Amino acid sequence: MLMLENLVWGWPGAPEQKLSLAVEAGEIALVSGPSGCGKTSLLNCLAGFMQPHSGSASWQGADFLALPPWQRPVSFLFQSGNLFEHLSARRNIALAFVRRGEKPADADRQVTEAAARLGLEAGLLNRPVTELSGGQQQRVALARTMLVGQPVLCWMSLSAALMKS
Amino acid sequence: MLPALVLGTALFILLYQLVPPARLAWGLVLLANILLSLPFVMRLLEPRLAWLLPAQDRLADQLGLSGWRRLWITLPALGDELQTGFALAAALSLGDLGVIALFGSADFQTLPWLLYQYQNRYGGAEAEMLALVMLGLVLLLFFAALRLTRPARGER
Repeated sequence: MLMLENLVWGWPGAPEQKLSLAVEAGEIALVSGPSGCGKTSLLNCLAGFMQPHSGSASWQGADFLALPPWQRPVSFLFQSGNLFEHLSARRNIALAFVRRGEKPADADRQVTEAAARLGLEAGLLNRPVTELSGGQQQRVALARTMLVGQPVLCWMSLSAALMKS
Repeated sequence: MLPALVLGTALFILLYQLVPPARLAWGLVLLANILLSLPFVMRLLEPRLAWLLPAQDRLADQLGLSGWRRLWITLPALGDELQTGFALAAALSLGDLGVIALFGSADFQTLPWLLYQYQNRYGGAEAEMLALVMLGLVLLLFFAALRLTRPARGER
């Protein structure tokens, strides 16, 4: 279970935001609100790119706020900047193995399969990501996130640049 | 921006009592030209870095990329700018006389220094030929830099 308890965050000079939340494994939680209400900052706190003022965030009872971004049980998809634009789609997806700590022998097959599950044809994988559409780029980032395999996925603007399916 | 002659003189004063200057010529000419080109190359890199760094840092942190591996993955994003910077630095160094004048010797010369010597020895034809070669080299570097910064690229 992902548990946020009295998590308080905010930018200097702006009103603080506070949230308590419990999300069971397999559940989807949607955080919505007007522009500027702190949604992105909340994700940045969970990702480790912003320090909350107080409170705790834990996964299966273990607080992860003190951990660096790459050790947190959370994967993130931001609105943009999820890919290294100078690399091919395949290399971007394969970066998942860096976070997992080892590159399996069948890494290439895993990359192709993860991409195929999201409707990315193998032919697209060798292209630089800048040659892909916005939706295809999001799917490349999602394929990498799936391969990382962290239990919690935080996704900013879920529908941005993606097809309904 | 430090004039080449000032930098060369400073290096000369610093080092001549420790080592015979000619022994360091290769390294010092290289170092001095790198230092002299640095302000121009940095101006070339800065806008790209300002645009790239926030997103790339966040992504690299999230993926656990660190040390050499991080550099290995992220540095090619600056590839075009680095190549252009290299071409620019090479073109600038082709005009350098300030450092080689102090550290050059009969065994170690550069094209501008050779040109200067030919001129002093009334070697007009040789000097003209060398000037033509240098002009050709600068044009080559210029067009190489232009070609390298073309946007259409294949898979890397």
